[in-house]
Amino acid sequence: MTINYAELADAIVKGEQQTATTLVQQAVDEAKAAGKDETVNAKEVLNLGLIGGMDIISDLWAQEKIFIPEVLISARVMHGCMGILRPILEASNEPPRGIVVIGTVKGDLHDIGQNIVTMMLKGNGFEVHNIGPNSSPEKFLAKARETKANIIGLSALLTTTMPMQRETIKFLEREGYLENAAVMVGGAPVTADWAEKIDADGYAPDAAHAVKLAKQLVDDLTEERGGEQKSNY
Amino acid sequence: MTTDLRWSGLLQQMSPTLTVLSKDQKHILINAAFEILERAGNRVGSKEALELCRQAGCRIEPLDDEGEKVFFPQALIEQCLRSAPKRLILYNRRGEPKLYCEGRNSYFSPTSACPKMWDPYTGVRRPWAKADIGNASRITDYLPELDAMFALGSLADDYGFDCFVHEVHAMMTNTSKPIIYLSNEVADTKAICEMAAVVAGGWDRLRERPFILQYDEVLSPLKHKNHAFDKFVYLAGEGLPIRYGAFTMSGASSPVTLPGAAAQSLAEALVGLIVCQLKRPGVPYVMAILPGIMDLKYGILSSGAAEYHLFHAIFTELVHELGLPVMATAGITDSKMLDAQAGAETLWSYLCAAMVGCHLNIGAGSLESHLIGSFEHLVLSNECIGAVRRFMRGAPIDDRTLAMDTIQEVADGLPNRIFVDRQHTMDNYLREQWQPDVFNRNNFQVWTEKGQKQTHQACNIKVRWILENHKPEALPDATLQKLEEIATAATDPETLAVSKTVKAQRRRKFRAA
Repeated sequence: MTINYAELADAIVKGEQQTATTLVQQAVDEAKAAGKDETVNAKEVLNLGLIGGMDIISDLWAQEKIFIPEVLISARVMHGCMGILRPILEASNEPPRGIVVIGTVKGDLHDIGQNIVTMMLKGNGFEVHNIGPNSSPEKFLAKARETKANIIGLSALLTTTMPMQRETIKFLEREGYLENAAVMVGGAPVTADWAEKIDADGYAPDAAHAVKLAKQLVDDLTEERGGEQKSNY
Repeated sequence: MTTDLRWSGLLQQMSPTLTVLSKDQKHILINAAFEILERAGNRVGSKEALELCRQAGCRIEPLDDEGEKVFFPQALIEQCLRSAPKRLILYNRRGEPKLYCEGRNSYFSPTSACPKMWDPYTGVRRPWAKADIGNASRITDYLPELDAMFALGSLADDYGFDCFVHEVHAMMTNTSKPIIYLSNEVADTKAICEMAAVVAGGWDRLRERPFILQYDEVLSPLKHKNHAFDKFVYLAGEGLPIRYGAFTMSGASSPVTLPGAAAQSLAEALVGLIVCQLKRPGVPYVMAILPGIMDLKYGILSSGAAEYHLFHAIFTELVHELGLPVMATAGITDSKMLDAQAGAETLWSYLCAAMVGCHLNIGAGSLESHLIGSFEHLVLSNECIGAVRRFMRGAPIDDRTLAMDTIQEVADGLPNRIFVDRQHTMDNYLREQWQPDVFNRNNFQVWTEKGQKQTHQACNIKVRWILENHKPEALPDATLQKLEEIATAATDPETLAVSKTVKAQRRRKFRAA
């Protein structure tokens, strides 16, 4: 029996963790038994099944047919399935779609928004390291270096902590980290003109746009490096 | 028949009232809040606050770098509820009592910290300058239905964390109404209180007749900022009033179902009350809430949602049941412009707030759910509150209002006599009928002759008129100079320098998704 990708995508859309995990595990086991290239197979499961399901979810959300709870639950299921695929993809040195370090800037203790963005990004194939609220520029840099992140997400909910987004960007720039990484900013009081003024690379007004933006920034970075192949992982 | 009763003083009079919970329901929710305090645990980080809780016999468990988990015994909660004053009087700058936060009284003020504002002259959405906070204060000073001032905007872009002292400076010098203020930590709170003491004529006078009220928020769910509680310990020590409660988003930072959200919010506000009462029994404390609804389609905080007003009413009723002063946000709209949505959401919110008897309601001047400040919305709020206050006066019944003699008078002159030219009408119409200021009642032809102005245009004209004509009561020169000195001393010159340098070193194309 070969995996039915439509069935897997459907399990993602419906938020059925057990069904999705079983299907993914089956696909992995069968490929191994059949002597199929495990990496090629894992990529196929990822692109046709998991990302396929999340694409349906994104469309439904864009059409306002479903709300954030449904999206987050599907994202969680997708992320759960990645637990099976990631070791295979990592073993083959396949780079993830993007590695994100996200957090709320120093002085700001609000983290609900960035937690939602974290779940959305994870659900769309990004490797996300959430360093939490009240994170200093040094903490962002250290985590980014450790994880080789190419996207840094800075969140701020307060008008008083928005300037810390600027300070963090300046710090990362001074340390030379932004040559090969992009900064995206967000948070309720943050606007596109503020983001541009503080030299962020991108701004998204909400979690749905944050996913689109992150994909765009990864594409920009890839193009800068001379256009290597894009990956969904 | 009824006349005898009227004169005997036995007649019961009514005014419009909103009740959404039965007595039993209130006690279920209050007990649920107590249970959250006893068993769920709240994260407290302030060392001084933790020490107060420890000494009072709270169970404390380690949690993380930011704080420890505190569990409050029932007896302690009850002890603190007993020592908290059941009413708060806020005074104006001159020391005259203005806001009686007690019973079912309702007062209204602008909100604070809107990151942007609509410029009333250019129509451009832009950041705030210090002069704008002064202008918001002058408009609030002028508008009779706004009872207190809150900064409306934020000066964080210019002053960073030092902004609050400058916001208070701008407010204090442009209105004599009571002031609600944000602050960051103990240092700037001290500077703000020092300014208030200068204006009041000394610390004792300020304590006796407070005209400033500290505002801070819970970090829901169930987390309390170190800075906030450090400030409260300081303010309680000084005997100055504090307002604290949840900025909750039902569905994100509290349950999506309102009873659970209300019980949690009540518990969170009580944590602040307990800390303040432990520091100094009897310190004035206002239980507060921002009864926000997380819109789960767009992921934004909604202040115009139907559930928002219900949440506001539930929380207010619970605090009434505890017999404490209560404050909530009201009059805020999700609309980006002063349009039909803004009008509908604003009026509904004020009406519910007044009918449930919430003492202090902040929110005037805010569009897009606290994100855009609008001077025109201050005027619209003034209009809506005026109408609501008339409604709330109800229809007291006595010989004057029943007007039996006048009805007989008209009957005697039938068929041609009417009420318009009767003495009773002359004597009573001004007190009986509320007159709108910016809402238009002209017929189509007159309205056309007057330029077919819509509400948002009428509000803008009023704003400009106030800015160009209203002179608030000035403070003495010596006081002004002292305030200026305190504000300057509280400013880090480095922050100022940083905020002024706008560099443009684009690494790559800017993306706005």
